Amino acid sequence: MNKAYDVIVVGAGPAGSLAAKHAALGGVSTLLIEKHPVIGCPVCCAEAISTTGLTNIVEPDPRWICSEIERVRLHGPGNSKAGIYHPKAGFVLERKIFDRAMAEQAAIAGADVKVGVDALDIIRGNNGDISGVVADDNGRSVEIGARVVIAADGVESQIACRAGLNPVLKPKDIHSSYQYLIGGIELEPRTLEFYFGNETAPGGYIWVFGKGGGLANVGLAIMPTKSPHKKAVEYLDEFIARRFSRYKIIERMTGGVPTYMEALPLYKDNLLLCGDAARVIDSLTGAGIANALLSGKLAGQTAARMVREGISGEFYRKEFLKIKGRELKFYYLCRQIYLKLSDDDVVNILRFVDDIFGEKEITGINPFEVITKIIMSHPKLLTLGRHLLTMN
Amino acid sequence: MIKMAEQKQYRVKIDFRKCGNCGACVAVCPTEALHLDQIKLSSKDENCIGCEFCVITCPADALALSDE
Repeated sequence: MNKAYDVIVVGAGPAGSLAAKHAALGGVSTLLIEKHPVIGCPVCCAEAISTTGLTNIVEPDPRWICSEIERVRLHGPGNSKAGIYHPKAGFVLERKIFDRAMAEQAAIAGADVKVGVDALDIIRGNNGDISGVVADDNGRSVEIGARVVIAADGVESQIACRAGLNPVLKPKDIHSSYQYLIGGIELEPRTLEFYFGNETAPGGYIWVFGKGGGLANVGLAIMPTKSPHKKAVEYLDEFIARRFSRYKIIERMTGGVPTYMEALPLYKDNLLLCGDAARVIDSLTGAGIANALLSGKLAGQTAARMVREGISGEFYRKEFLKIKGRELKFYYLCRQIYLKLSDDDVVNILRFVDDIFGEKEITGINPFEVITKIIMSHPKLLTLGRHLLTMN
Repeated sequence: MIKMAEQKQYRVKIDFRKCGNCGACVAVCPTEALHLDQIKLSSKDENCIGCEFCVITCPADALALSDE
């Protein structure tokens, strides 16, 4: 057994780095491991986050902010559209720099950071509790002891499987995502573009998130069961050819966006899960960074108290759900409704959204309220919502 | 002698030119037949039950199953 730590965090994405930072700040010895040799690479993310989602947890830093968002344009079938003007709505990040900055913060807080270390399995002690992890450390098999393990190892989390949590998703519970970073294009500055429709992106949407300097993340997510034969990449290629006359593809990336689960896998014994591994995604938009940051922070804080005060992982689950439980459930319901919409429904909703927001300046949006308004004013959506609620 | 029903042995074919190492397939695999390490995706074919969840979910059309 190599050196043992109080807390091991697996995965140095935003969730893992925040977890390691807050565990270390809680005064316990902490190790953050990342299987890739470079933190922040590859990026599997559209990189947009709301202002509050970021600033509630992390101080914004111009080093990793590409663009500030003040406008959202929604495009539906048949040239239907809606615009929302909302200064200070959010940011487009440069995740390659952001992720590294978060890992730096963990290191500054006192955590050890090791890259090229792939956690393969958990080790259980005589009492049945997890006592560490087995890892491939740059080609060498090692065992690292820990009193608490935090798994922030993404959508494909292996640690959770090994610990007996069952986070395996059905294809209907995941969105297939494909994205290009393209350059040499002109876009309306500080604007996020979204494209909806069953022909465009079945069960999902396409995004164009400008990063400034003629660059943009152009990607999409589709529900794979709605299109088992035509792949995400094909929809995206068709869209880009339609939308842009001249562009250069600089990077490509693929992704799986997990959906919220009724029983979120947040902890088991002395294992805590956060970020995509814990499925704490906003199921309607697929946004994950803000919830990853929050879940990481709470998991780290809890882990430190588990070591020092002997509290249970249940504390983490309760704290997280107190803040996010209702919202995650609500968005999951919205997603179920969204999956049943026809193109005509989308056109009607965009018209309604444009009537509410038009080009008026919005200073604060409560998505909860807006979506409830949309649902309440569309009898079909209301019926669908009621039906889905009674099914649960 | 009882003859067991013949169980098909599937093989996961990964096209590494298309694979983006995102792990979407790993997340939907019910039998841990796929693993994503530091460098690339690999398959453990003896675990594969041929459900094709990975093939359906892959955003990049990088996966196929064969049962030869």
